Parts: sequence; C-alpha cells; structure tokens
Amino acid sequence: MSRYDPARDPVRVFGRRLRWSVRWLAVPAAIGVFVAGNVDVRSLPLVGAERESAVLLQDGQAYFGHLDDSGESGMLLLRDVYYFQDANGSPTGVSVALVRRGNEAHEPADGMRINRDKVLAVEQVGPTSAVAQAIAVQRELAHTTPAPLALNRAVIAGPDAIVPQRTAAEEDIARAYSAAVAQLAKLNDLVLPVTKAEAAAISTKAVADLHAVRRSALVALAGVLGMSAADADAYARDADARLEGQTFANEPGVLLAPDIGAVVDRAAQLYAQVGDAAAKQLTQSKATPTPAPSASPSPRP
Amino acid sequence: MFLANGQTYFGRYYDRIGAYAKIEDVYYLQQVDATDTTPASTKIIRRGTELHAPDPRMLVPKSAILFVEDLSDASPIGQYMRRDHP
Repeated sequence: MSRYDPARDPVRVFGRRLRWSVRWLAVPAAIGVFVAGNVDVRSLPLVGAERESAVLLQDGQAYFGHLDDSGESGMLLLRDVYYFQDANGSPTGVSVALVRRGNEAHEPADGMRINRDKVLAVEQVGPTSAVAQAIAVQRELAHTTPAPLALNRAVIAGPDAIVPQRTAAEEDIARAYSAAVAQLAKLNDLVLPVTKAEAAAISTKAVADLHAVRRSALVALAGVLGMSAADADAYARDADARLEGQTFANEPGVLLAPDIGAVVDRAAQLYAQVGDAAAKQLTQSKATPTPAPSASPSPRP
Repeated sequence: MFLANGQTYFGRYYDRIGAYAKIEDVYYLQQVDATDTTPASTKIIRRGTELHAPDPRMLVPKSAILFVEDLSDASPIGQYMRRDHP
C-alpha cells in the first residue's frame, strides 16, 4: 500500500495555493487596476455632490451643464446648459457673463447635442467655483425644484448664497452710475459750445436721470430676487441711500447669475443712453437763426 | 499633448479605453502681450484657477489630439511642474 497522499503532495499544494491566489488576489487586483485607470469614481451616479461638466469646444466656446456621454452615436448630450458671453467693459468687473441657454431667438429646448469630434476637452466644474455658485443662484431665482429622484441632483442655492450676488449687483449698479457721472463731469471740463448755465442745467438733468435709472435698477433687482412690489420699493430706497457717494472702484468682480446680470446690463445700457444724450446736448452748438434771403430786384430784361 | 486646434496641454497623460484620454494636473502656456515696460513673454499656468475652477483631471477626446510627447527630465516645463506640484 502506497503511503503517497495527494492532498499533501507539495507540488499539488503549491498548485492549489497558486490557483487560489490567481482567483482571489491577482484577478481582483487586475480588475481594480483596470477600473481605477478607466473609471472616475466621481463620475459615477450617486457619488458625491452634483457633477457639473464643462465641455470645451474646438472653436473656443465653453458650455456648462449635466453631461450624458453614454450614447454610442458620437454625440454628447448636455442638459441645463449655461455658457459664457463676452462682457468686456461691463460694470461687473468680470470679462465674461454667464448666460443660460434657452433665451436665444430660436428658444432651444433643454438638451444640447454636441458632436464629440468638435469637443476639445471635458472637465468637472468645481462645486465651489464662481460658475457653480452662479448657476445654483440662478436655479433658486428661477424657482427650480429638484427632481425627487435623480442620479445627478442639481444644487440650488440657499438664501445665504444669494446675498453676495445681490451685494455684487448693487455695487455694479453703483459703479456704473459713478462712472457715468464722472464721464459727465469730464465733459463739463471741456470748452463747450453752450454757456456755463446751460451746461449746468443739462448736467443736473442728466444726473437726475442717471439717479432715476439707478433707483429703477434696484427695484428691478429686488423683483428678480423675489420681493413684493412694496418690499422692492423699500429695499430700493434703502439701497439707494447706502450706495450714494460710493464708487466701489477696487471691489473684486463677481460672476453674476444670468437674471441678476441682466439687470446690471440693462442699467449700464440706460446709463450710457442718458450719458450720450447729455453729451450730445453739451457738445452741439445751438442752431443760430439763418438770415432769411432778402428779396432782390430781379433784373428786368 | 498637442491638440488639433493648436493648443498644448502638459500634465500626466493616461491613454484610457474608450473615446477619451485623460490628463491630470494640467498646465498650459499663455502668451503675455508686450507693454511699455516689459517685452512679450510666455507664461505657464496651472489649470484650475479659471472661473469654473475645474478639477485637476481633464478628459480629451482622442479625435482632438494631434500627438502626445513625453517631457525629458531636463525640460524646463517639466521641472517647473515638479517644483509647483511635486
């Protein structure tokens, strides 16, 4: 009778251990390495905060929104889309303004399909970035209600996040007002074709108009923030008094939510119109009456 | 990483399965125009300080990539990146 016990055969034991190691250690490790290299945990549904993507296109445009790249059609689907618009020279102090896609002339519905071949890069928007904050505030202003069950739940700003935006908008409105008044003062320093008294009257009227624009912009801002008409009027009176005499020349720019930014833009446009009208009156000489042609005797034949 | 639109990104490159390559800890070059006192120059900028404060990783469609090169150890850009973000 052989004393050979296959269960104790060192070669078989080694083989068993090797098979166990491959099955329970090497294969899971290889899967782990593969998954770690190709899957971003933060991109998975239900992991972490809202995932807002930035899709940068080859033409230089950038779009922000909820990205769905699961299709095989070569098109990306971006929902709840925002993008940058040039805002150089605007009183916000930021060179771009945030715009929500959907208000264009063709009023596109939500859901933008982008050809992947035209995409330069895809990034995740930082949850505390200026873009993310402006979008969250815009959702609050638009009374967006988050879906009860969503894989990528939208963040909606609370009242605390709206305060800095309101303050920044007030400062922008005041900054543009100060710039318009300063421009008017510079014009008055020039040698003008109107008399001093006329220039003073035109300037006083223009400053009053600029002040009225500032007041109405504050009322509009209150309306966007959801205040009632009575509250808006009281808020505008209070803010108007607070802003009087302040220039906010050195305040850092804040990227505003689209609805708030629209109020600031409209105020800047109206300031410019008032300033242009005053400049026209100040720099145009009064029409002098032209002498009527005197009747001259016609030569008789 | 040299892209089809002429832009260049520097960082840790991962060639992944699928339509996108990944690049982490991204830097890019920015031209600075000449002023009265300083000549024109080129700055290297770490991506992440933009208004949307992007994450350090960036996905780039492979169709947008022209070519990819490794930086040598002596590369001044590589040295700057190692100093800036070891």
